[in-house]
Amino acid sequence: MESIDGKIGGLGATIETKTSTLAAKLDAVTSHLTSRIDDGNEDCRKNIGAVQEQVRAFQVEVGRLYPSRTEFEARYNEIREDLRDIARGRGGDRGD
Amino acid sequence: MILYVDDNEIMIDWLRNVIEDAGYYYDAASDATIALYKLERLEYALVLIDIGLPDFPGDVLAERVKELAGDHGATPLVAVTGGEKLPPDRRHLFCDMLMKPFLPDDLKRVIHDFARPPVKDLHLTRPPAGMLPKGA
Repeated sequence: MESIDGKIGGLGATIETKTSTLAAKLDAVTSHLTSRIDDGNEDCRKNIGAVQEQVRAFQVEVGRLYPSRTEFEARYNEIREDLRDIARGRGGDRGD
Repeated sequence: MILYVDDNEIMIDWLRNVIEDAGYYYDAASDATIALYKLERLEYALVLIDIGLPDFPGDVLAERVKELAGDHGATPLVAVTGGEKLPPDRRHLFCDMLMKPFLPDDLKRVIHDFARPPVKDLHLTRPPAGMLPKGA
């Protein structure tokens, strides 16, 4: 069974990959839209605002998904207990 | 974004390509506990659950997801099975079932039929066509 340290590491890697991929795409979109502002395209200005809003929302979400080790470990163990209760009910516990 | 729950790294890599090709972002969890942890925090368009997970059977995870959703409508769940058998009385937990090995088109059909439209969280889905410059 993978250790909690391993799981935290895996979770972190997932988020880092997702964050960097998203950041690269957002950079490309922002750059593309910015380049068109000079043409007086007001829609581009609005779209940049929308993209920036999404970046802020994503940062908040990353904070929720990737908390401190203590928070993660506590919630991880609670979830495991919940699943173990269900598994006991159907005779399928493999949690240990 | 679509979540795939499996500890098989080969399958994870393969599904990533198909899911992204279908226009969704992709996330993975290696066991039921991590999957539930993620499901508490992110909204997914669809969750693919391998029945033979290392910590708990996939249908145990599905049952907990349904409990948490209550009357608000659960995230669509699709079972993925290899040699493992899903008991008939547990099939109601899933919208559909994919038997390994399956073809990319089988997965794309499931995504087309059951995945929720990626509209609520733009940052977790692909930007609309036309917003991205070529090559982005």
